[in-house]
Amino acid sequence: MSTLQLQISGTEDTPNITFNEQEKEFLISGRSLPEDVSTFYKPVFEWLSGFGQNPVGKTTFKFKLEYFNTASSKIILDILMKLEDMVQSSQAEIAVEWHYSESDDDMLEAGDEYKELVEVPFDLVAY
Amino acid sequence: MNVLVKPSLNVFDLYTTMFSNRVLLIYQGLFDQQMIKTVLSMTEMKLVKENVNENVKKKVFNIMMEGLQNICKHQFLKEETSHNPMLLISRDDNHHHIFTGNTIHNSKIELVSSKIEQVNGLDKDGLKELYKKARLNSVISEVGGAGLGFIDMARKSENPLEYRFFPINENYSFFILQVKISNQ
Repeated sequence: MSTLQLQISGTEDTPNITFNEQEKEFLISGRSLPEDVSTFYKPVFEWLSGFGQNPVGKTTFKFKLEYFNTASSKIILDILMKLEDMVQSSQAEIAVEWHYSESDDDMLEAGDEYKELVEVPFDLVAY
Repeated sequence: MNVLVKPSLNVFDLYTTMFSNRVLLIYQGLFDQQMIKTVLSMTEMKLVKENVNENVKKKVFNIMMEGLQNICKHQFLKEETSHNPMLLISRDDNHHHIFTGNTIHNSKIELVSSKIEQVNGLDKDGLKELYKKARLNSVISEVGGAGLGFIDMARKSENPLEYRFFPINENYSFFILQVKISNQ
């Protein structure tokens, strides 16, 4: 089994998080409202450390969230900063896609703010 | 266990008050994550049924969630303070209103007021800057908060946060926060 396997199934208040090694795509989608974000996201940060040490070629990190709480907003920033570190130390080739519903101004604005903050190729994609 | 309604409670009056104020949902009792999910999903269903604009629906959902998770992290047991937290969602022609109430130790009143006054004193760009700065510096607390709740609620509501403290006894007060979202 690949060490880069990542598969967390979404629930009503936690997101679906997967890594597809063939497509070189990391996807986080759904709702991120966990009570305890640190515990919930621990496996994701462990996975990210492993990913940084095993270059797999250009990887897309897709964020397609419907809702997230402020604690998750901090965690998303931490994830993006980890990606920025990898890009700057040439550990990995990474592109970020921030997907937002056309009817969700706040989600667009949130993506825009992350884009301003981190130096990683970053696209805003409407759906 | 006595489950009878007290004779002093006039259910029809309560209903009439709720109906005439277009109350979508009212709840009093302790909150946990399960209860939060339940009231969020009830509210979401009602907003969908009433064809509320998608952007407004998302704002109501986000602000409720943030307010309730805030309460959840700071609530006291009823035995300590003799009061439970509460939630009320209502609407009028121009706004949706989210009221949350919870007991607060009197020693925290000044801190909470100053946080709210700080966000109320900022415009859209000021709030954005404050949020960005606070998020960069925030550390997830032991109870899982990022310290961004009021700033986020103020940004999403695009209205000042209204609040009051009602004294309960020498140690505690009841803190009511009202967040408005315009129906556009």
